[in-house]
Amino acid sequence: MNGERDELRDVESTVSPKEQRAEHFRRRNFVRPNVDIYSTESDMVVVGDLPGVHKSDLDITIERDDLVIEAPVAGRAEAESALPWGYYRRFRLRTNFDRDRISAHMEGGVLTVTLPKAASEKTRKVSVE
Amino acid sequence: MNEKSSEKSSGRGALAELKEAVGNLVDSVVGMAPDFGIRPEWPRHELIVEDDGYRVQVELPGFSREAVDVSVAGRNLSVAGERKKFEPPAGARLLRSERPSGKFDLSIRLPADVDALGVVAQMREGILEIKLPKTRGRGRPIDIESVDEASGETEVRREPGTGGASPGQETPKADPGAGTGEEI
Repeated sequence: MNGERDELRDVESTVSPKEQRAEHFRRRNFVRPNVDIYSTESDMVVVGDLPGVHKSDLDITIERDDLVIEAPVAGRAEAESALPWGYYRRFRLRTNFDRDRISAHMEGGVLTVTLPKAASEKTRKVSVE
Repeated sequence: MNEKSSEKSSGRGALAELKEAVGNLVDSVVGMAPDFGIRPEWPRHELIVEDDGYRVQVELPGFSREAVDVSVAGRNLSVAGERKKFEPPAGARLLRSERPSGKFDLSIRLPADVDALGVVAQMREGILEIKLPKTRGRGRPIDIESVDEASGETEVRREPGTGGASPGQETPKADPGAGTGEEI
């Protein structure tokens, strides 16, 4: 079970230090969203709190082996708000996921990302003769 | 809290009664449960000052409108609610659980010039936004009588108040904007 937990491991950005500075500036006052993660036979599902994010501002990408969630909250930076200006979190994907079928859903400030497990990763019953 | 709200709302009609009822309901719900599971830092919230009023934003992702109670009593804005612990579907294994759950009861001290009757709230994208207008135009201008000791005359100076006349402008007699003012 601990092994499966490691399949979505938090990682930092992998870009060069110079690029990181630019990223940090772009993501000023961004916070790491809290997530619940569960695993079913067919999928790994990430449920995250991203209150205030418009669906159109949500940016979910697969960068090499990373699932990257990045989303600004509209108007917060301009207002110099004390609340988060956005959300950022990066997970390293270790299981073989079917990357073409990863889907995301956003409702009421809650993001749900469904990562279908590749066929080879699904639990298979082995019949004993 | 109840005393204050009834004091404020006396003679203000059905809306005030409703507000008081909501306040009492919140009190009874909060009263029933001891401070079990309440985290002071959760949910995150902010009071924003604007030209014509105030705005309070509270982060409540995944909350339905029905799961949140908002009430104003005196100068206290109360936002209370509860989120159940996340349950994955049957047969699934929960690998991580970071999202907070449980009861919360925020109490936010309001500025003095909030018009409690004009407060509106809406929920959008997991943010509860409460708009609190300032008491513009509702205040009744009060005349200030000044007694000039030397001449023995009594002079009436009208306080411009907030009733439409530009503040700081002292008009000794006729002030067309202050129609609700008392006539001497």
